[in-house]
Amino acid sequence: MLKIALAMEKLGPTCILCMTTDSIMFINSHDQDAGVHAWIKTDVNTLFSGYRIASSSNNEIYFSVLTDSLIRVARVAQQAAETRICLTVSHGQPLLEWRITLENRVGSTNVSSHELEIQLLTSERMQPLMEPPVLPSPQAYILLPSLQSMKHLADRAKSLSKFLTVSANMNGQLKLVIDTELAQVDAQFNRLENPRLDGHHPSEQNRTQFVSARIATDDLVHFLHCHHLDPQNVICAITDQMYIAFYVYVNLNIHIQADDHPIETQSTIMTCHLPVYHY
Amino acid sequence: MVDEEPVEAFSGTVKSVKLLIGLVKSIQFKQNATVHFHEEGMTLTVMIHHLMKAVVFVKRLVFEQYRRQADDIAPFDINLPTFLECLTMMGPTVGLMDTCRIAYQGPGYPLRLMREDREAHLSIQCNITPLESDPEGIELMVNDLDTVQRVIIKAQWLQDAFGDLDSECNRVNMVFSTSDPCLILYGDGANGVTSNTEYQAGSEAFVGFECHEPGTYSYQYTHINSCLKALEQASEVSLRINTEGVLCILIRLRGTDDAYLEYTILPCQSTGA
Repeated sequence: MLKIALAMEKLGPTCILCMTTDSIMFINSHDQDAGVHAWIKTDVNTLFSGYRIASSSNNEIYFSVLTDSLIRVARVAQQAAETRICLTVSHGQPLLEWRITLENRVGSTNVSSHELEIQLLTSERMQPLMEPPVLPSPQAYILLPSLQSMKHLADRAKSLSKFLTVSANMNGQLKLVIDTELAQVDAQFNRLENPRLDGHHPSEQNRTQFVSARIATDDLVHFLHCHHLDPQNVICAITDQMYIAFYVYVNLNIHIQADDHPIETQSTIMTCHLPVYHY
Repeated sequence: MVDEEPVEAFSGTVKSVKLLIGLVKSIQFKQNATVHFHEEGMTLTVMIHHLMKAVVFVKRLVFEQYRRQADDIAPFDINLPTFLECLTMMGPTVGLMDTCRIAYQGPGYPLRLMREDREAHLSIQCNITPLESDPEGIELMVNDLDTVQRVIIKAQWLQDAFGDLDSECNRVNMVFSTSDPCLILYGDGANGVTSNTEYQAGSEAFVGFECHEPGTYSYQYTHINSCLKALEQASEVSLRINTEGVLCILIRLRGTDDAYLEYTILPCQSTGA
C-alpha cells in the first residue's frame, strides 16, 4: 500500500480509491482536462490476505483520501505484524480505520488505531472515471530504459527547462530533448525494446521515424516516482504531438499466508497520461 | 547543423567529469563564468564587481586529449548553473563512465559536451549557449615579487578558522606580525569583534610562513566566505598578500595536482593598515 501511495504522492493532494470485489483502483485527483492522470489497478489479493466488501452499489465502494495521510499510516503499517483496515462511520464522518499490530523484539504486541477521514463518492460520479480512457493508436511504443537513468536525466532537466520533448520510434530509440536559450540537450537511448501490441503492426519503412510529445518536465519527474513500485517493465506510447501514456507493470509479490503458502499475485498496472503542450 | 569533422577551435576529452563538477560547484556564487582555453589548460573565471576574482585551473593533464587549433581562442562566457546541470548529466551516475568530450568551434558557437556510453547505449549531447564576455577585469593579477606576507596552511585548519567566523560579520581581518602570535584572524561587524583565531610561528597548521613586515588587512566577509566550498576539497592553501594588500588564495586539491583554484581578493577601502 505504501509503494502505491508513494507513487501517487506527487500526482495530486488526494487519492481516490475504487474498491470492487476483486480489484482496487487508485486514481489521482486531477482536473478533468489538465494535469497528469494516473490510475493504479491492483488485484485485491495483492494488498490483502482477507478481503470482504459489501455495498448497495454492486458491492463497490468509492472514496477519496488525502494522499499524505495515506502515506503516513501506510508507513507505520510497513512494520506491522498485522494490519486490519475497515470502513466505519463516526459522528457522521466516514473513516478508514487502520488497526495496526506492532510486535517488538521481546514478542509483546501493541495495537494502535489510526483513522483517516475519507469522503465517500457516488457510483454515478465514479463509474465513468474509473478506467483510463482508451487513447487513439500510438505510432510508437517502447520499453523504457532503467527508471534510474530516466530519473537522473529528468531531475537535471528540471533546473534547465520547464518543458521537455519525449520522442520515440519503432527502432528501439528514445530521446529526451530540451531546447532553451541557455542550452540545448539531446539524450538518446538506443537498443531499447519495442513491445508487440496486439492488432497493431508497425510498417517496416517507418521504423526509424520519431514521434514526439512535448511535456512539462515536472510532470515527468512526478510520474517517475513510480519507481517506488519497482516495476518490471514500463512502456511509453506516443501519438505524435497529441498523447503520451506510460504503462507500468508491477508484480507486487508480498504475502505469505498463515499456512506458509505464498499467494500467486496478479500484475499491478499503473496507467499514466501526461498532458501534451504545444509551442 | 553540419556534423562532419569541422575544424574545431578546441576539442578535448575530460578524464574525470566528477573532478570538473566539484570545481564548478566551488565557484558557483555567480551566474556567469568566462571560459578560456589556454596552452596549459582550461580556466573558468568569475568576477565580483572587480573586487574579487576566482579562477578554476584545469591543466591539460586532466584531459585525455587536448587540442587547440589556434593559439588565441577568444574567451567566452557561459551560464554557470546551466553548465553544472549539463556536467552532472554527463557524470557517472548513469553507467560508470566518467569521461566526456568537450568541443568548441569558435566565437558564436556553443560549447558542446558529449558523452557516448556504449555499455548503457546512451548518448548525450549538450550545447551551451555562449554569452558575451566582459573584456575588462580579467586582469586582476598579483605580481609575485610584491609579496609581503605568505602563509601555506593546511586546508582543514583554514576551513575551521573561516568556518568559525560569525556569519553576521562584515569583514575578516588578518593581522600579520614578525613575532608571536604571527597571524591573527578575526571577524568584525554588527556583533562587534567575533571569533578570534591565533597562530604561533611553530603551529602545526603551517606548512610555511613568511612575514617580511607586519601588516593588518581587511577583506569583505562575503568574499572570504565564497572560498569555503573549495576548501572542502582542498589539501593545502597558500595565502599571499602583496604591497597593495591584495590577497591571493591558492587552493591545492586533495588527490590531484592537475587542477587548482585561485581567489584574488582586493582589501576593503577603509581602515588604514
